[in-house]
Amino acid sequence: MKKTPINHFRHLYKRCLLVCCILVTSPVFASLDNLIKHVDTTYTNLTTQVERLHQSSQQLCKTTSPNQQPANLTATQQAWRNAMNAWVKADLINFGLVVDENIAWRFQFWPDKKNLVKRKVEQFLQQHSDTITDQQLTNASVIVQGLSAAEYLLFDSKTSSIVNNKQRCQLLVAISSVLVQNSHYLQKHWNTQPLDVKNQHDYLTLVSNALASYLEKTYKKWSLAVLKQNPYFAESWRSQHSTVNIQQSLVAADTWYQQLIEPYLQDTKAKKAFAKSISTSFQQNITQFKQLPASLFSMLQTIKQHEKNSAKELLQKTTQQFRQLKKQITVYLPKTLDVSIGFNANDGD
Amino acid sequence: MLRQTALTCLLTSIVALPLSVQANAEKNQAPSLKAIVGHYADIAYANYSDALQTAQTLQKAINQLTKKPNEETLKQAKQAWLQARIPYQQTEVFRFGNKIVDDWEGQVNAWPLDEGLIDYVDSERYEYELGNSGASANIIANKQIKVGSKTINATNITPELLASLNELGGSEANVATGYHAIEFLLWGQDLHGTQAGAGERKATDFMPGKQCTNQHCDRRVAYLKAASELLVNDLTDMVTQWAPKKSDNYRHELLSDSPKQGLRKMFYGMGSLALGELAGERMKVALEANSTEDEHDCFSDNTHNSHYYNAQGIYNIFFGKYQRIDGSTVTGPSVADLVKAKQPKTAQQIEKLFNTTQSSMQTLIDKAEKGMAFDQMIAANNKEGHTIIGNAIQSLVAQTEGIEKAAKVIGINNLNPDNADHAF
Repeated sequence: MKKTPINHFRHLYKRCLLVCCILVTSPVFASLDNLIKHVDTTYTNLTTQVERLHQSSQQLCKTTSPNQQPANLTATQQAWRNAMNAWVKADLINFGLVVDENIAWRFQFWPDKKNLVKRKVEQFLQQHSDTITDQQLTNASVIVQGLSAAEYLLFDSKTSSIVNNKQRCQLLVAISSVLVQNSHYLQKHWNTQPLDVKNQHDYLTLVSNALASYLEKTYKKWSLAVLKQNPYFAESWRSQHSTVNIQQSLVAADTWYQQLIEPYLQDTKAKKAFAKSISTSFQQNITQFKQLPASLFSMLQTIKQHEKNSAKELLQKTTQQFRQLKKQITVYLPKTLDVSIGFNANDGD
Repeated sequence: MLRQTALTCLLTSIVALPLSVQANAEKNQAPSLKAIVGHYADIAYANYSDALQTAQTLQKAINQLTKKPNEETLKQAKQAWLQARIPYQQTEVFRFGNKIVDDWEGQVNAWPLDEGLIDYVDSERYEYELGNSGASANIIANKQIKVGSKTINATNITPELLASLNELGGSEANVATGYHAIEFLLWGQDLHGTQAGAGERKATDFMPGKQCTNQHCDRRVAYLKAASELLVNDLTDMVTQWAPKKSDNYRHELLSDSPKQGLRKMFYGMGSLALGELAGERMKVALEANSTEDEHDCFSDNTHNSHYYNAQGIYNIFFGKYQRIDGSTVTGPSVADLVKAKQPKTAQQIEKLFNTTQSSMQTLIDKAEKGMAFDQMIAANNKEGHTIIGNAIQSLVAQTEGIEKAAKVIGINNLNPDNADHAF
């Protein structure tokens, strides 16, 4: 090819791009590797916990001895709590397969302001009075497929108990079986389609967006119930596990931040100080949530009925502190990293 | 060698980049940010003016219905409501991003609502928000409203009384005013679930004396008149906020702020409505949960149109074009023009994404008009309906990515205009 000035420019640009790629992308492979390991571990843990829930549900539903039933119900309820803890942590992975194939709602349906979980589960039971198969469940509304429906069957105090109820038991076993299938699927295939990460900026955009969106969602889960003072808006009000969910989410967010983002905040004094302030905020929030009474549902009911100021103040302080952390993650962190936070499902109402 | 190449690269960039930018700028005249935000305000003014005009027509039709309640006047009022939704749904793109609109909107278009707050319902098929103590207050049937330990005097149904009953007892589902309250009063509960058919309220619900059905017709008439009066008042206020040549309104405030912040508000409005609100809350929830409770215009089965005009509103802002209800068009400098001037190929790609959304929304409308309304499409076993809604959702998701890309081209990095704490 004749070396005209234009061709010369093109040639130089190509070399320039190549060099830039080499310079910029090398460290990102290590980070990407960390991210992949982190996601693998999270999905593996989710699979383990839902498998335990499935085993426990089968055990509960096989038991005929009245002496064994209360213990088996308690064990299955605990297995549900563990599975929920694993799910709220996995929910931070809000990109890739789980979003593309809309799988998250098959694990949890929230918010449920109009008690759709109850309505859809009861409707499903009415429509399937003989046997319940996994196939029927996967064809039904996502509401009946996940942990929210399992919570209703295991904890709702106003409907007939699952113990000795063959049909409700069948549904619980099917739900946990479908959860196992979905979890396996995520674990096995989430990385089939490579992540669109070509350089450090892409990487930081991905992990910061995931964290920002997760913190917004977690804050929404908390504030919806607390600011409206409606105990039924609490995330897991039937099992009274809402506060633990938030605490577990904060732990997951903190780990994500420490492992995947903080190493990029070490090149200047100002960034280091900012990184430290985020870590401190995480610790303060986690401690605050650990110190709260176990049941947010009871707290909100008490406030509603008796206008209890001490409980109100405690919740206000917790919310304020949480809001500050959210602002650090959704506003200041992206600015410091020079990344843009895109639109997400939390925008809008 | 590496160092030498990097240095040459840097020098080449310094020489070549301004040249290429200049060449592009010569090819396409790029509008200024200020001009784009100014035109955005023009569209808002035209759009809210149309919403007001159609709401005034609705008010006249409601007055006719209340004077001479019969099936024909009820039909006319319903038709006027449907027409009023066309410009209003397009204005929703101004809601997110402009706090003044979002704060005002609750009284105008809050949704979903617990309709038992307003009037009689079939209690066996009425599902209300958990913990909502006002869900069955029935303002029309009761001159005294008891919520918790409080009693409210509701003897005279006035716009002020209705406004004060919104979010009664702290619940957002207590919606006493706006388009959806009027929709419920005109159509009544849709008891068909995911089967064909909308609400079937009879005109006799508004008749005086012995002809009155379901009791309290005089209060139902008073309610409908008060609600439509309030809607007109509220829209009048919003038109004033966007009116030109005023120094004490929101338009003046917006245009006095930095044009970049104005652009940010435009982007936030488009992206939030497209993804979180329309694709998410209004379509995906209803579809995935097969839930008619999450259908937007659930009493009238006008949901397909509401969604279509939401998407149209986003299109209007991106391309700087708005077709008014009288058929005339408002056009001017737009985000699309600016992106085109900077990166013509990207602009083309984004335009394609918008066109795909328009086409998928058109399919939604065509199917609904042929007899498959949105609430039928979301039935658990309706595969065709699921595909139609699923395509619309997917196109909105892709379009939102296009909106993000456009923001990047223009140099808007932080898409959230409210750094204080966006309580949108």
